[in-house]
Amino acid sequence: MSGLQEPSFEQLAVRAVEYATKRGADEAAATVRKGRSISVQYRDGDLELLREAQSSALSIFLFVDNRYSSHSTCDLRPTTLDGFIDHAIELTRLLGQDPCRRLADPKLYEGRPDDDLEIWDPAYQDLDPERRKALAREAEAVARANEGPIISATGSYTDQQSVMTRVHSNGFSGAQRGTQFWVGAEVSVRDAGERRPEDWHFAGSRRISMLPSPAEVGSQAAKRAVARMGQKKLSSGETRVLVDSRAAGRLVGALVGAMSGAALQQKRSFLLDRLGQRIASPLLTLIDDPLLPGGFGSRHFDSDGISSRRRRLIGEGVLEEYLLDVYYALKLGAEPTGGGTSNLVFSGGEHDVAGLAKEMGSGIYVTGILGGNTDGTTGDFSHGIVGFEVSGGSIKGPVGEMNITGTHADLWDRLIAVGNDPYPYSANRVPSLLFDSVAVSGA
Amino acid sequence: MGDPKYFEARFGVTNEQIRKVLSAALERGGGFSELFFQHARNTGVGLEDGVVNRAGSSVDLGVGVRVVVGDRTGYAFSEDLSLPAMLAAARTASGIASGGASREPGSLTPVRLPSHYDTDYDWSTVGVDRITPVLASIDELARRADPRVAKVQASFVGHQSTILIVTSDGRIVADEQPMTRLGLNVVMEQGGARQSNSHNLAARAGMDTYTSESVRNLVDVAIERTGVLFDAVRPPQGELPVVLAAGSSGILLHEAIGHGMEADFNRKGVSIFSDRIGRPVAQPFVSIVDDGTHQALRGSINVDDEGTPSERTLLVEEGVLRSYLHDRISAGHFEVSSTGSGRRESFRHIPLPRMRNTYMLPGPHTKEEVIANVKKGVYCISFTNGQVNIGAGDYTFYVKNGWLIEDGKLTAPLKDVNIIGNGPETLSRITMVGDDLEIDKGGWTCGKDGQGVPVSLGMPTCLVSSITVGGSA
Repeated sequence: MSGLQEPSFEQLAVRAVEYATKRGADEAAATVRKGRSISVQYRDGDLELLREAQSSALSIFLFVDNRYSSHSTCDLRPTTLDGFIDHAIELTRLLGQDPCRRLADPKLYEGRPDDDLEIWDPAYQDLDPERRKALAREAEAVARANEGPIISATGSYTDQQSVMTRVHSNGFSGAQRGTQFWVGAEVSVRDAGERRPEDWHFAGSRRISMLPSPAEVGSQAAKRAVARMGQKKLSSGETRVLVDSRAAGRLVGALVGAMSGAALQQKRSFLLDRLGQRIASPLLTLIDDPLLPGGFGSRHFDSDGISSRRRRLIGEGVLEEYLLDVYYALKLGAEPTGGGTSNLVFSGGEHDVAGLAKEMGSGIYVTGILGGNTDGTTGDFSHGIVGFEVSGGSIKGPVGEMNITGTHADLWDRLIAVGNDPYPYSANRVPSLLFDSVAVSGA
Repeated sequence: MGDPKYFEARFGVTNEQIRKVLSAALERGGGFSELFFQHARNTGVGLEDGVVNRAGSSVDLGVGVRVVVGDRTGYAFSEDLSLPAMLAAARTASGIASGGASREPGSLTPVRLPSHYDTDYDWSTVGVDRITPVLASIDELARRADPRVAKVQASFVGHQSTILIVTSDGRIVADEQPMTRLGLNVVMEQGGARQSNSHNLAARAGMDTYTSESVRNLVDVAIERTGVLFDAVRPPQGELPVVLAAGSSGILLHEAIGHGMEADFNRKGVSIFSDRIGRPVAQPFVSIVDDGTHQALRGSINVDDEGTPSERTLLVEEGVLRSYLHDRISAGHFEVSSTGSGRRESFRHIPLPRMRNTYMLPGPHTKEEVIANVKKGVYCISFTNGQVNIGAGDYTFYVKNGWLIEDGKLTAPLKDVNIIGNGPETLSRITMVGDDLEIDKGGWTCGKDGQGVPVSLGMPTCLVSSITVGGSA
């Protein structure tokens, strides 16, 4: 990408790589990042917080006699930087050898896409400080004006701009810049006894013109908090569970985590030796799409410099591709496919939450996952949940202080419907997911 | 004790410059301004597949400028310690104030601190060659301990943070904060099945944390807690009596009461513990403290990140709710003294009321009595993570190792169980407390508003008569 604001950044990265190789590194890579972030927060009618952050950092990755280390610093003065790199090379020589540590084969740098990712908004430059305040103030004011016993409302606005450049000693050079704009609201309400249930809504976009209105965000947050009043605990049993798009990312994250090269090579993955096999219901098709316009994870290359491509990870329930970075691919004796995911996109889905609830009949509509974890080696999971009871195909009163427990193998096999409502405020655009027969513990 | 001249000696930041920056921060009439200088050096080393084959280091340097007007905060930071860059950050932070007379800072008086850890230690001078043998010994010990061991990963972190806090009311405080953590992941294979687990040891101390005994114990615990998982079962689902083992079960306190006692939530009235000070919340044999003064413990601090000396704060005294955890803003709001709980992740972050080392004081019962008292329930030993909704009071924690209790005896190992309860309800259901308080030495990190700070946990054996356990049908 051309037209970066900071041409000196690339020079800084090039210089660091050149210096490292001159001082004895066989190969080196460097990234330089610069970011600026501004936040404004209003609470109960008053400006509560103004925060501005400007950061720069250089990271260097060193390959010295089959030894590897990585280092970062925010002290970018050239004189300090040389000493920092010298020290880092010296440190690397004290480590054991690992022949799998090397930069990517330059063939993987080829074919880099140049699509406009639509992740940079030129309007950022001209944003007025008063507009930032107005957005946060409106989110808060609308939230607080909502009906219900509201104790406290907070409205916030944050934006950020980031620029990154990456250089490898074996021929890779790339840069990317992006902007993000976020508006949010958090609301606490007074419930029976001492309970003060809270809820929130945060919405973001890559372009400020795409940002949902602060009034809509504030109103959503308040309605959600009010809807939490009078929570009940249902009795334990096995039931259908509809996980809202806002909460489902946590479950998908555990599935994707088990596809990573590190987890596989270290035998800490319940998806080990499952490539090409059915691991989920045929309703699950999961795509990694780095070229999604305006996506929070959109990119032209990954952290190994591998050129981005759209890839199907799971196709109709069959595991089609692992996430192998250069290092773990070499360790596994496989071809690198790219270690991390960019934007996760699901296919299919005909219904929204109301439609899914109708299909579900009765069970629990989960709107939030509270803690819990997954054992990535076995796929066993157990999570706290908050949500609503569903009966007769419609959403009823709030429930909580309950757990869902099971194994990922069973859970994904029991996926019986996928929503048409991918969560738009994350790189993981997970829709609402309906599962059959999940163990729910409550009273 | 830390050196108040460190930033002058290394980076040329003089007291005269500091006064100029504090003044600039107050030029629009803010009530209070503060500078938080930090120079942090971090080294990490890792072993995988039998070789110490990775290391990393990082350097972080900067100053955070905060301006406070009542409950309102302006904040900016600079990674450049030159005077023009610091003044620019100060003017940005001053934007929170809406006008009024500018003020001059008071004269700067150094504050002397008690020492709860070795402030002469410096991790940045410890070479990687001293770490590699420790990691290699972990690998060797683990592989020798059990033939089922298939994979071992070991990792080390040594962190040194030098801080200097200067406030417009004339306080100047320096501290040297060492921190270290050593941990391992183990994978075992048995008859085609695989299990994994991890364990770690952390301290605000130096290399002497790692004796041959402490390293051996670290490995032994990881091996034992992994091997037992091959026989582990899921408990029945629903509400059950829960016995918390002495040690890291303090995670219950951290989630069920600790966060809710952080005074920022209470000054906003959004915690389930708001308006409960002075009221009974538990049986008289329940006392809970948050204590930053334990020698060399991970969550200990000589001074908080606002310049207030650390202390031992009684949250619950003999069953009665006593004090919130205060930072400067909440102390002003409630017209009390700060409890030295204003902490931040780094100079890039604003301080917030946070926990340090949270634990329950010993009670009247023995561990054996507590377990014998349960007909059918669970005994929780190790944990991975927890979370809480402050206002509703619902909290959870995830149990990695435990046992089923049947007729007062531990009968079968448990695994991967989430437990969910309500904070005040759980406190009122603590029916027995053991005399065996144990402070956990694990490397816990507490997250709040996107900021992580090191904390510790402790607990005597304790019985909660009923909490919801995530089991299978």
